[in-house]
Amino acid sequence: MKSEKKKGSRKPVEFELAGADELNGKIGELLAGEARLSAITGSDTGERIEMLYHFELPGRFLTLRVPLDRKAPSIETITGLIPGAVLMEREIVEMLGVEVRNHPRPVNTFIADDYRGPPPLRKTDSKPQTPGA
Amino acid sequence: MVTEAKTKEGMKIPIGPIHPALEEPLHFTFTVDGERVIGVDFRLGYNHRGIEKLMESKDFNQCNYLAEHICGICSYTHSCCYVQNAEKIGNVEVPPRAQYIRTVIAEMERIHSHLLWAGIAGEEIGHKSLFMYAWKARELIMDSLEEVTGNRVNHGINRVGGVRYPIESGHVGHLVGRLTELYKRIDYLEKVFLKDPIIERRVAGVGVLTKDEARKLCAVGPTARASGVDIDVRRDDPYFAYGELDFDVILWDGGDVLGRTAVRILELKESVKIIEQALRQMPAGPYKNDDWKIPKGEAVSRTEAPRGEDFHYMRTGGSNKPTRYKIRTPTIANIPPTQAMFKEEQIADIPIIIASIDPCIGCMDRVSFIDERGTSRYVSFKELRMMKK
Repeated sequence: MKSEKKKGSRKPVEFELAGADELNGKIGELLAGEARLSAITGSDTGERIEMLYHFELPGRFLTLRVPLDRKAPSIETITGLIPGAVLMEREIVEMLGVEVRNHPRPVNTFIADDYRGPPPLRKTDSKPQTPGA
Repeated sequence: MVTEAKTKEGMKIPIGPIHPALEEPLHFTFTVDGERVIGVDFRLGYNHRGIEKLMESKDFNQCNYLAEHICGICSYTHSCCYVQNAEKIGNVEVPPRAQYIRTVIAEMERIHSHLLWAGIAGEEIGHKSLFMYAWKARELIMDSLEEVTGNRVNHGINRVGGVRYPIESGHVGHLVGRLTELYKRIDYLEKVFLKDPIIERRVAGVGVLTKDEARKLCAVGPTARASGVDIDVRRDDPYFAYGELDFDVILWDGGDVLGRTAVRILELKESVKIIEQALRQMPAGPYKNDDWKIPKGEAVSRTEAPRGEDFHYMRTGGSNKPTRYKIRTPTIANIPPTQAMFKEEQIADIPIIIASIDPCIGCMDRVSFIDERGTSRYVSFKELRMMKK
């Protein structure tokens, strides 16, 4: 069957700053407005860790930017609201070393269990070490 | 999820990353009760190639080629996402002719990817001749891709600001001829996949993903549309020339393997329609714009890849390289929904259910063993070599 939804126009891309403690509340509001989580980006800017939650909404594409302390980045999981975010968050836990509190998947999914070294996507000068390498 | 598989008693069957029933290098651990699947867990990253990190050490032209090598099937869509990001940050004006050419190549890629999938689906349900028919039809579009871009898979036709060369008029004639032939073959495939009673009995009602689950688990592309979730980047956020072309978004409401098959087969016809229109309406004029410089900034871009929404994020710092590049491929989004699809299914249905999301993932690094005492352990590559001796 064919969809009856009409063709849209290019959605403006918006960025919005959000605090780590108000994130779940904000996402709850967005979900009430038919938001769909597109992706989560974790990024090390050198000064801080940024979590970017990308949402597709009717009429716009919104990114919630959550800055975290680089020394001990920690944030509450959003899987309670969006179960599909499990792998997106897991990737950030493993690649950037961000602690995601109450995450439903405590096991390594992307990187090897015997990997010893800093989180691979952190900006750092030291080289990662793999046993036996 | 993991906890669910652990709480229920049952036998564990590891499938992948190398397994006769699963070509893709991902690992699933199924908990089964007799023939019934009661829990599933997975493991990814068997060949994590670190492309996001590598992007940070390449300049803006090299990144385009690297982006195109993320995938070996839907390679072009990644390159499209990348150039859109670079063009957005650099505020580069892209000539309309280039946008039409990009649309044509993107749709040709969708056709070849969907036909490739149709062949694999045929093989997974034991219908080898269907596999041959689908792949024979695919060769038509592969020949055209080679003729138009010079390459069968990694086309290398995109560049920031346009495309490397236009579609020549002679090639347009060949392409139109092949599309006419292809349409007939798609018609035949549609008849086989959607009307054949044997195939219907094999795939109808198998691997059901409800609309609610598809939404919650963030499914994308044909996997989502087969469950009735009405999303398509080409229509909702029209990039390239899609805003000026007329096409339908195919939906299905069953959410089963039959639905995912139907959506893909019917989408093939829409793709043919899009290419024919784009070739007819293609404006004349320049096809590239070399006057660009990428300042400090950030951008997100999305395309509708054959497997669903492809997402890229780029941040630049004013140098000739990106400072952060993030890629979310459609398969990663479609892995959590498989857990809902496997529930209460038969072991024999596992291969076709995995294949039904059209997975596309990198290679292996080690093997998981689950011994008869029920404890699992991982074996390193070194140990594996020792065992071989």
